Amino acid sequence: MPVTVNFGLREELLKVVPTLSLCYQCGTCSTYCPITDESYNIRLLVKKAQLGVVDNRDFKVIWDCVTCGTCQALCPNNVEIVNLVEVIRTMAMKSKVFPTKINEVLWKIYENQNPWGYTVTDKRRFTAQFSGLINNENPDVVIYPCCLSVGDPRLQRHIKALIKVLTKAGLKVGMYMGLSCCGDIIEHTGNKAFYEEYTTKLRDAIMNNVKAPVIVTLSPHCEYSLRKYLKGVKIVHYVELIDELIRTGKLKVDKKADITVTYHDPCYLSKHQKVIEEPRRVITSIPGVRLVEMEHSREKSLCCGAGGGGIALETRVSTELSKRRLKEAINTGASVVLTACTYCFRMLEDANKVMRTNLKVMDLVEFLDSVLGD
Amino acid sequence: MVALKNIIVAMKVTPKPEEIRFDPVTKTVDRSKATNEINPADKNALELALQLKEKYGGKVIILSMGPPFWDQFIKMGIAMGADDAVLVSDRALGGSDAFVTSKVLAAAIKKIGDYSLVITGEESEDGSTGQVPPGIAEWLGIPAVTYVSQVVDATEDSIIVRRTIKGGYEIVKVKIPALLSVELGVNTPRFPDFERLQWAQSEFKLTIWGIKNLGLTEDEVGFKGSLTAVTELRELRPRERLRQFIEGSPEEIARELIKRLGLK
Amino acid sequence: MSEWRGISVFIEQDNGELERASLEVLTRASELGRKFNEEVLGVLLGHETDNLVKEASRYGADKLIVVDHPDLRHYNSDAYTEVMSYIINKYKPRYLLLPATRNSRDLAGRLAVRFRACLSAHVIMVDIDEKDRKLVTAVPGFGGNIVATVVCTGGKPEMATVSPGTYEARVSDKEATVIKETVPADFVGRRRIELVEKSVSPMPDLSRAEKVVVAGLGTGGDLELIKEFANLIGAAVGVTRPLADMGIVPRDYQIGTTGVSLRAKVAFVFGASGAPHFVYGIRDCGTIVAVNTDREAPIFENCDYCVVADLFDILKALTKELGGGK
Repeated sequence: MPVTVNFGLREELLKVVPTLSLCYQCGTCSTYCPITDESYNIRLLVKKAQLGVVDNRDFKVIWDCVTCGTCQALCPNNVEIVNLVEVIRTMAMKSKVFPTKINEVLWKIYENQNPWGYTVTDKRRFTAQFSGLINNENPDVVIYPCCLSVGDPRLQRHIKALIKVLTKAGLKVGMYMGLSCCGDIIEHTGNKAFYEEYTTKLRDAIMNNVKAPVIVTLSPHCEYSLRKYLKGVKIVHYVELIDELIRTGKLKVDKKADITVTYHDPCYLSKHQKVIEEPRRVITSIPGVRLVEMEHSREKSLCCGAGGGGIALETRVSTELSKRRLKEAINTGASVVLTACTYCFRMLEDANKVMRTNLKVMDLVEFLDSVLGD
Repeated sequence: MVALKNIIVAMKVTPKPEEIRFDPVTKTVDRSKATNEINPADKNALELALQLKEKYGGKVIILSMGPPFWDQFIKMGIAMGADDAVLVSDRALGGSDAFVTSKVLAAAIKKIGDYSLVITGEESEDGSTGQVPPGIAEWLGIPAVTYVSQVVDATEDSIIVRRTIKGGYEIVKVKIPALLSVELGVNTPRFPDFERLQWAQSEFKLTIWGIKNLGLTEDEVGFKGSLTAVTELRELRPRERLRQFIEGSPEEIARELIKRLGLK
Repeated sequence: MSEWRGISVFIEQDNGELERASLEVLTRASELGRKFNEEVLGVLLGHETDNLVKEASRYGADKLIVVDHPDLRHYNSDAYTEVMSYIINKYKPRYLLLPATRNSRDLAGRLAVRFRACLSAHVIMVDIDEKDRKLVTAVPGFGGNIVATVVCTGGKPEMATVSPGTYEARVSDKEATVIKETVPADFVGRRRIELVEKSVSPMPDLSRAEKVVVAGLGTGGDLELIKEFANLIGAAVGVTRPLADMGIVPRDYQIGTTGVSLRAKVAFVFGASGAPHFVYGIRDCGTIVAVNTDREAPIFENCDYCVVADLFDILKALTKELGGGK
């Protein structure tokens, strides 16, 4: 039975995702999609969208997508596939087909400004850790900490490392102490109304608070998210900033390290923002370090499983993907896998705990700081 | 065909317990700097009510006894899907204990009338007496089932629910109208519809009653009407952990732990 | 007007199983009874209660009032309220104490309104004022961070539900006189609640376990060594949410905000990172020992003895030291 085209829905979808019409079903997307299986096939989803026949079954599985963006990064016609996924999620939300856990996550963001359930006590402890290390009077750059680090001492170590490295480069470093989630996860839940309200409030709070010309993040998700609604200030991930500081000679990498490392490209850095060579330049700027690439790297990098809300929703795919990625890292023979994203770090570190490997997981700035020493 | 009438949900707004400050000089509890939230168990109660409405019909009405600023929280409840709301607010109510609270809420429920069910959270996170739900039921002369985890079925004249008890559960059939108090965490409260919230904030008219509307006098409520009184308050230092790191080989650590804990 | 006299204690039972917290309250009541020269009356509702009566009569009550009826075998809010009201009206005890368990708190809430009496909830101290003989209690609030001293200002009987574990149950040399009461049939029959089904598994009550060993994600779901160690020290086993999610054990064993809150004297936590919702479940434990390979795991903010090591190595070492293992 041939499919009946739903012209109404087709028109609607084409309006919000105009590139939809450019797909000619080559199948590159589903080949590289890390979660393609009998229930989830992005190539088929795009076809169904073109015909306006997206249905309840699609509403159920659309939540597994980690929005890694490999599909659209490799699509020969630059179809905005991730955008389509978000649109379908909004539709699924309206039809009330979504994982119940989303309610929990949204309530947590509403009541605590973070999806993890971190409380005022955690925020207070975090602030106590950093109040002596930062300078919020006339800073050159202001760090926007990922809300995941509020209750995670290991991630706080990365922030401390960043402060040290930037200070070595002669910068005055401040920090945004509002400690609110950037709103990235809300966007992936398809709840537009709450996203609007939350990010409007956050934008005003940040603009009133931050007086520096540059905001630097440790999470590419924060960078990606803040860039959407913060205007008048430059927002970068630390990898871009440090790369620039090394190249302009402001940061001298003069210590050696005899070690083999591999680098895990965070999807939101490599695929969504095309920041691919910067971290590699930073790594190879350290004399003695050997960088080995994993089987899937750069735009083809295999997602750690955290994206698209996966890390908060704990979907069936998120843990599997992180284990798969860690295995790839082990296969390179490197002693350390470096990454530049709070989510990627957490996913790989947790996978490492369960798989009990000899590999060490480190954040790139943590590694750099450990090499530079004091 | 079961058709439920009014489903009245009691909602309390509570300060987050860890943000409460205790003033050792005046020996009073300072709630002013704490952020308020809908009492967590009441969210579970409201979620249950909304699910019942979806299945059996009826009108979900939120009922609260508190100060005027609670209206923003009540509106979140409306945005979750409640149909209407009543706030009992009166200066005379200050200092009311659980006995008075149950009396006032029962009077309001009587005034709203035409109800099949009264649904509450098992207890509030501030007072946590858990006395108000059975108290309300006794004032109204209706049966109460506490620590309900889910509704199994409803018939014309009764409702069948699952109740959590130590080590297991009971399935209990109770005649309606009845009161159900819902266990904390038994369901996932839906997140409010923010478009409906925006409507509620500008268009929704909250019904506000004072004690006179309920036929109560000042002597029956507040400090005067309460049967318990607080004579002293003190802070229990949240337990400070030792945070002592024990180092050494696994064998050394094991021996040290066994020694310190007296395990042998 | 000293028409109301005596300290009555509700002795809770359900389907023939005695709620031991009632015996703690009975012990305290008998202390107060001796000090203030008040008679202590235990009240037991149930069916086929001979064993329960024998047990309960050894904990300090002067009299043990027993109402035995088939319809009282299981707790029933309506029937118990009616029968207790009858007993209270007949014996007029000045004070009524109950354990702060689910069923008794339910019952107490109704009785307090029925008698227009004061009720203090889940108290951690109960006493009688020397001067005016009013009931005085210590009531925790705000998540246990604040304790209020609460006095009764009106109503009889003066009531309190007492938190399990506040007092110790001690056998007395005195044996209570048993009084078998019959209650008019319609009192028991006045019910609008009917028990349809009941399922209780002989599961160790984690919340009352004195020693608990908690397995976290770091165990990878492998509980063999955990169970062996727990057996050696007589501890119950609990898990963190991820393991319950994995289906390794039923959710009844999950510790945390949506699971069990432990009040153990000693709790071992192996391989849990210490997420806030889990930490909530162990906050009331006496001594917490945490083992995790990550020195910066949040769990180390919330424990007394912190061990940064592989949990399996530590488990093997502990088991060996305690004389177990292969």
